[in-house]
Parts: sequence; structure tokens; C-alpha cells
Amino acid sequence: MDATAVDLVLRWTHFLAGIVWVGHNYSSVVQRPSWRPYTAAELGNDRSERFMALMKREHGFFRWASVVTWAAGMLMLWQRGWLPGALALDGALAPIGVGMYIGTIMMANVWLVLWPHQKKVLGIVPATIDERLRCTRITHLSSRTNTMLSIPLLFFMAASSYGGYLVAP
Amino acid sequence: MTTKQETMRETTERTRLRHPFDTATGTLVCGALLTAVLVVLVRHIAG
Repeated sequence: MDATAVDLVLRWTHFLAGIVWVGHNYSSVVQRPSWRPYTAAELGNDRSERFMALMKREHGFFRWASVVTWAAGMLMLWQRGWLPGALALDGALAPIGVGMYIGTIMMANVWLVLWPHQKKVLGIVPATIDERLRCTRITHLSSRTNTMLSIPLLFFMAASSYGGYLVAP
Repeated sequence: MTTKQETMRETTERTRLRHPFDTATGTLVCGALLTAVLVVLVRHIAG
């Protein structure tokens, strides 16, 4: 497979996984546009094998989609020889560099903030009801932070296709 | 739970409701503002 074909496959993978990942955030915004504190009754106590498998699959799907999106993006930059310039926010590579940094923050947010708290909300990790209620607030803000960050991320991804347009004097 | 604790919890909930990310509009506006700020910064740094 030549370099262009590899680049195309990486780009396609990046888009597809990115839609699965960020689409999850927008789905949450549509379903629950405004924050309303959860009640203990709303958290539910369904610990059936079927329910837990469903929750793990749903959350695992978008969590791993974030890794695939990030890895495909980084491989694309590396394969094109753009990675050092993007990391240094150098000239025409600055827009995609900003997108790369935002994407990295978003993936870290999913794995280091959202998921540890979501495990308590879902009951995968044992926690008191007060702790679970507290975690719903953190997962809400964590999810919304990624929704918010996706706006500049997508802008800078799009802007990168215009070469130095953004940074031209 | 004591009355004081209940009051504290209610106050906390009210304060929490003021976060911009608590509404879809607030989230999208913050994203648009951050985009504008970053565009200015990128032009300044790399331009």
C-alpha cells in the first residue's frame, strides 16, 4: 500500500472514530440539554448482568473510539512528516497542532476524569449513594467540557486543510 | 441531615446551576468564544 493510500485510510478511520466519539457527547446534549441534579431514585439499582454488559459496551465503545481517533490522527501527522511542526505550532502547521493538543486533552478527559467517575455512577465500582450523586455532576461537566472543546477542535481540523490561510499575514 | 446541611446542599445546587456548561447554549457559546480566542492566539504565535 502506498503512502497516499495509507494516509487516506488513516483519515477515514480518524473521521469515523471521531464521529462515534464526539457524537456521543452531542447525543447527550440533545437528550439532556440542561443540567438537573439527579435523585437517588434516578440512579437506579439495576445490577443485572445484561444491564451492566450494556453499559460497559456503550461506554467502552466511545472510550476506545477516542483512542482510535487520537492514534489515527497522530499516525497521519507522523506519516506526513508533520508531527514535529504540529507539536511546535510552527507556521502553517499551527492550526492542526492546536487541534492535536485539544484532541489530546479531550482523550485524557475521557480516560482520567470521566471514566473513573462514570464507573461509580454506573455501580461498576462500589460507592455510596451520595458519592454516586456527586459523581454525576463531575461526569456531566467532564462530558460538556469535551462538547465545548470539540468546537475549536473541529474548526482547527477544518482550518488545517487551508494551509497557511489562518496564519498568513 | 441537619437543616444547616440541607441549606448548604441547596446553596451548592443553586450555585452549580450557574455554570455555563449547564445549558446546551452555554456550552456552545463557550466553544465558539474559545475558538475565537485560539484563532487570535494562533495568528499571533504562528503568523
